[in-house]
Amino acid sequence: MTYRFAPILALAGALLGSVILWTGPVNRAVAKSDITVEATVDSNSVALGSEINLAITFKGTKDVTDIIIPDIDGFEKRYIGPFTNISIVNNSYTESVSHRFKLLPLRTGNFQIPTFHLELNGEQFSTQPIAVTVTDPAAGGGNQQQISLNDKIFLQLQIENSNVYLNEPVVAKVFMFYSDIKVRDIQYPKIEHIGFIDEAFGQPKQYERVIDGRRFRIIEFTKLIYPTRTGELTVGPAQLQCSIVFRAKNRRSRSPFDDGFFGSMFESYESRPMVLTSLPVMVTVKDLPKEGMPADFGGAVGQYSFNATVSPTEVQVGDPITLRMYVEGRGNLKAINFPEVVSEEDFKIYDPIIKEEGQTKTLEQVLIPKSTTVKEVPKVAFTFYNNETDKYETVEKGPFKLTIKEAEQAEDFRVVGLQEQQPVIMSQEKLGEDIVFIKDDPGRLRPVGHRVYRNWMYYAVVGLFALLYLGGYLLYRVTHRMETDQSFARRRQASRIAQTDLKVLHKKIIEKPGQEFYDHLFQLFQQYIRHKLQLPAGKASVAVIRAKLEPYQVEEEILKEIGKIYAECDAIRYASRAVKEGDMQASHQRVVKVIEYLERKIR
Amino acid sequence: MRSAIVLSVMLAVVTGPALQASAAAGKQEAISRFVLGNQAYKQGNYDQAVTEYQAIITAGMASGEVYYNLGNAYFKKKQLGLAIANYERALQLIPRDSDVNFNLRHARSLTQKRVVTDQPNLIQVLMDNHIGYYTFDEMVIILTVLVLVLGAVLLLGWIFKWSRYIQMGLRTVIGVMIIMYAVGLWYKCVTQADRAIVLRPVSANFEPREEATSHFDLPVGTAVKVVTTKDGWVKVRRADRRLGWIPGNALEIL
Repeated sequence: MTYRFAPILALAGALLGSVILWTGPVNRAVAKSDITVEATVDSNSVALGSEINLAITFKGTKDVTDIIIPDIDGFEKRYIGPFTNISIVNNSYTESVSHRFKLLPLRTGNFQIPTFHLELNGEQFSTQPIAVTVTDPAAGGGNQQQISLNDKIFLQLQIENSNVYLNEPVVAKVFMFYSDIKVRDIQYPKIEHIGFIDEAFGQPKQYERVIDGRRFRIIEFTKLIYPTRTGELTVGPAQLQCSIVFRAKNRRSRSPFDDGFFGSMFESYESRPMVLTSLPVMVTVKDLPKEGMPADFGGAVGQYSFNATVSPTEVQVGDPITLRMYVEGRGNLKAINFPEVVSEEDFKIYDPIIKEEGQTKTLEQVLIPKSTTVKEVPKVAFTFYNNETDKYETVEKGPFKLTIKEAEQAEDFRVVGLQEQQPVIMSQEKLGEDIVFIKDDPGRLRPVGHRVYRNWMYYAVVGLFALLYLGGYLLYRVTHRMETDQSFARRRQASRIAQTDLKVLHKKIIEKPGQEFYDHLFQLFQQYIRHKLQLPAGKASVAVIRAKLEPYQVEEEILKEIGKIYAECDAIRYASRAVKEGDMQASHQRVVKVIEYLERKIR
Repeated sequence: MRSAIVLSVMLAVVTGPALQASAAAGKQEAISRFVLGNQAYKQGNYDQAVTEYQAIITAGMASGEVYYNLGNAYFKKKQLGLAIANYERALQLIPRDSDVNFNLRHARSLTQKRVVTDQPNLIQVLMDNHIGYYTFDEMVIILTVLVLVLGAVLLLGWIFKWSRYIQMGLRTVIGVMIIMYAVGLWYKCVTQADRAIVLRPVSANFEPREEATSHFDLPVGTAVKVVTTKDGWVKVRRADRRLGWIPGNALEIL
């Protein structure tokens, strides 16, 4: 594996080495004094509404992370970011970093990007001033008066009437003018108006108009505002957010697509967010004239129509009657208060339901006559101050005749209103809203950032289970193999028999000396060898055992010991050789030695 | 080596009870501060309540209930951003508590409605519901138990020779649950890491300085992700993945 990759590693090493050798000395050649700073623009002439790129380049270093330059007269600057450049030409290594800014011209004329004094590593650097001419693209090539961006796009706030009464509707208009400039993402304007309440802006109008020979596109936003206090109040300034769109500078050079047909085909645009602000407008708010003010005047100012209806007019005592009042017109509907018309002596009065839809305000009130003596709903009168006629006007409706009958006996158990055509008007239940109260129990307090897996107990429990499973798995493996692998089972049996029976036999050295001992010893050894070497009964001769043990490379000494065990046992069992003192111990030791060896060797 | 083990055991025997006693004392101190905080809250002294609850957290103890009460105190002080931040913290410890969920919803309903969120897809909704039901520790414990149960099922199936269908069925069910909880845990780690709550209406700029161009507005209570910090400014990512720089003091990191 290693040899296969050796050529690739060698090649990579050689490449790395040559790069280090090549660039190393050149790098060291760069000195602090070699650093230069220059300011450049991509164009010395720019049209109002377009942008130019200003780059401040540090040659000889790329370790300038951030620079701050002062504001530039006639331009609004926007930082783009740093761009580093490293080049190696003819073994000469150069590096530089450019901090780039976008400059948006604010007016036409000849400007100068001033000298920037910059400090780097304690050394002072200065850039050369740059002349830039800002032209008006709409004026063609001819010479023209100075025009600022604010002349091409601006906002105007207009109040139709600057001398008004309290609560009188005042039309506020915001005009957005723009000419020879592309604008998008236009938001609805916001008007500051302390002391006024306002409605939402309606759908804006769009049209064009020529002003001083220039064609402006105008977007007109209109809303009504209502003064809520008297005095000299300020409306505005209005502010409007939008983005101006300008053609992005083409960064490519010497490209066949730069000019002509392809140039216009591949040109791209960028947008810049902008907030337009208008001038504020002063409004004088007068209190309403006291002279001629009716006692029931509720504060409505504007031009209104008023109507009232009562239905049904024929009911039984206890049945509901609905009184409806409508006020429609131009004015502050929120300031309108409906008159209270009926007394609680004659009617049971429910809370009214008041709705506002568009320029109409409606009141619905459920009245329940208490007796047959009630003959009418008294007249209702609505008074308002007409700001066009400068007079208080009162509109009266009613009285509304009623026919009230005695309730029938069974009526006592009737649910009021359900059998009538009129729906029961329930006063809407108003539910309070707040958070749920604090808890009295501190709960399970634990150290901040406590995690169960950071506790040693967690690992102890998991480790315990893992050990249990491992034990269970090993047990399963052994029992499973004992059941399925006969040779394994026999080998295991041989070992087990040998371990237990040898201990028993050791005791017999004293208890049953002589031939009986050797009978047992030979039987035990032969049984062990048969199980261990998978030999059938009667086939466990020394020659067969030697042949079977050959693959295991058993030492010759052990093979000789096996031969000795067989010879000793045969001599005592069949030739009735006398057993000397110590023979049984020696034979036992020999068998133990051979079994222990084979247990180690054959697993 | 043996002497080192003996020394460690002796140290554990000697210092164990001392540490336990110290922890118990810390808990007792936290409980008394909690009671004091509750008393102050009930008397309408929300500043004092905040001080007491905050002292518990500063001392290194916390519970979902402490964060919840602290959130309530901030809510009463009209500091909606901090209230929301503490309800969120409470929710991480007691996610199924209906009071915390209600108060968090209520606090959010009082903030400006222009909190931009990406429309979540069905999988995100399911994952949010799944992980929102458990604490982080609960998910770790459930996942651990499931892995142990899978081990037991494998072992018992082999030992007692369960039928192939029973073994496959049990393994599949437990396996699916393990995947579900493992993915949930990963999703929780990803979504909960570096979360922060906006404390005051603030404009996120393109660059970390006051005069930079504004990119978008962040109303109070908006949950954002902290991407990086620089010179007291924090780069945050809104739910719609827009990035912007805001002052560091305008947000509370959870």
